[in-house]
Amino acid sequence: MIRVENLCKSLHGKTVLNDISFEVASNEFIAIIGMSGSGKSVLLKHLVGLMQADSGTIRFEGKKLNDMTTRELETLRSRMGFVFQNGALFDSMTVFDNVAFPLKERGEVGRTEILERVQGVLDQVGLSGMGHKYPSEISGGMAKRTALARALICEPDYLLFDEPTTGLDPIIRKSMLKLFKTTQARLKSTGIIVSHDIPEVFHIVHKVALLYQGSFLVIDTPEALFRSKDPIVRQFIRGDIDGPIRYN
Amino acid sequence: MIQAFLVRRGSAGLGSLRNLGKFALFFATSVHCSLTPPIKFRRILKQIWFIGWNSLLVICLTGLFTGMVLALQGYTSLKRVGSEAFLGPLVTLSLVRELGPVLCSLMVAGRAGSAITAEIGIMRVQEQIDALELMGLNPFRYLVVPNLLASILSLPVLGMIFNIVGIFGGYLIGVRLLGLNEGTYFNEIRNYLEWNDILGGIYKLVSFGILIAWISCFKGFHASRGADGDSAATTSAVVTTSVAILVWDYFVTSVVF
Ligand SMILES: Nc1ncnc2c1ncn2[C@@H]1O[C@H](COP(=O)(O)OP(=O)(O)O)[C@@H](O)[C@H]1O
Ligand SMILES: [Mg+2]
Repeated sequence: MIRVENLCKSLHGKTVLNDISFEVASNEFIAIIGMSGSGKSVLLKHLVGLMQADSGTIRFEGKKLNDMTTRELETLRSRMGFVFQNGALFDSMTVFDNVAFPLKERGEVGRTEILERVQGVLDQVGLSGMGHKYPSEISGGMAKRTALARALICEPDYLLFDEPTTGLDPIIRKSMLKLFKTTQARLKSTGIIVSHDIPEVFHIVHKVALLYQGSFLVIDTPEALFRSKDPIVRQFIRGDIDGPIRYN
Repeated sequence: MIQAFLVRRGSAGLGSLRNLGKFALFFATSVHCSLTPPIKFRRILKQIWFIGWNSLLVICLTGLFTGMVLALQGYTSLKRVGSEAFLGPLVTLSLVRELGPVLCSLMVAGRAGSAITAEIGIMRVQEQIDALELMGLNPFRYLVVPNLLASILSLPVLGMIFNIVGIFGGYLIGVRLLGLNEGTYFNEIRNYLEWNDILGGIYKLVSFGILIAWISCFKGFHASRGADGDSAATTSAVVTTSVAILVWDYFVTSVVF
């Protein structure tokens, strides 16, 4: 369970997160949508402790992130599967080694099991046979799926995905979203996915949160968002050019 | 207006003080991680290969020509006072005490140090360092410690090779070209070179090795995320390391010798 209370963060004098509070129950999967630059990535980075809030608290299973010891934070992080928006693959390693890396470093399982599990995950993301390639030799979409495989290899209790499907073609995108749904259900993980795939992503999550001007305008079920009368929500879901949201 | 000026100066001063603090803390963390397990031995070997072995050719070349030019210049000067016989000690002592450690370190800073900054800087910009951290791996152990230890181990060896090749270069010019007696060249070296000279040189090399790894890693680690963050960090690392080597060299020389 993740619980965030009154989270605020300014970067370079600009308020990015403004008093955000929400909760993700265990075994719940939520999507965060919002305009580019609205602070979705910044929010996710706060949840894993890569960025420090100006004020507010973040709790995992009741324990404050800021009160955790280094060891506790490491343990928590080892239970997380995080996908960076840009993939953040290690470019000195092959696809296989990237995916195997978290398992190897943990040193809990033997060579043959690592091999089997990595092959298994690569199969799931449609990258079997690509293990020997380096990140510089594969397409952006493949890099994204490698990053996904790396996040899933340790069967995490928390799934935190930052635009994991952006840049994938429609067919792979749908199969990836399906994979998230089944994985989340199988592992009973608590998940947060940042996505622009409207409406596809609505079909795989329990709730959707719309980040707008530093805080959540709504957090509700996908059906409720579809039915929403709020002009901002409506414009965002439909992708209308005209409406209260303006780019300037 | 004066107040505004003072405030601006003051905050700039505080800023650089904070950076200095970060810089010192970075070193303390690196040393701590170097002295406590787990140590990534394979990464250290890889970096020794990268810093040491890959610098060998450029070290031999610069060493050779430094020795040669020292002999050429030294011979001209010594001849005026009629003591060409001391060409060997002149070349050797200049190399072992001063030019070997300094030039060798400057070459390594330019070749390996800049590459270390670029590599770590890219990892910072592309969030690979964040990814390491999220996997529960300490980026210091993985990225900084191997460079620090490899640099400390490689530099003395590279410096010694630089000296030996340089002395050989001096021999080529002094004996083969200018006709000095071969026995004189090497015997006078044996007479005048002391263990303290060599030890002092090694001491310098080790400290320069620390400086190179420390500054290069620090600059890469703190590369800004902008488009040119990495190249700016690389340039700044080479300049800072070179200046630091020369300044530190003066202090070591005035204290050790
Ligand atoms: N490390 C950082 N330093 C300074 N500003 C940042 C940093 N990361 C993000 N920002 C700023 O915060 C805002 C939100 O960025 P981000 O969370 O990446 O948006 P998105 O919702 O598209 O993921 C942007 O204005 C961005 O410029
Ligand atoms: Mg983002």
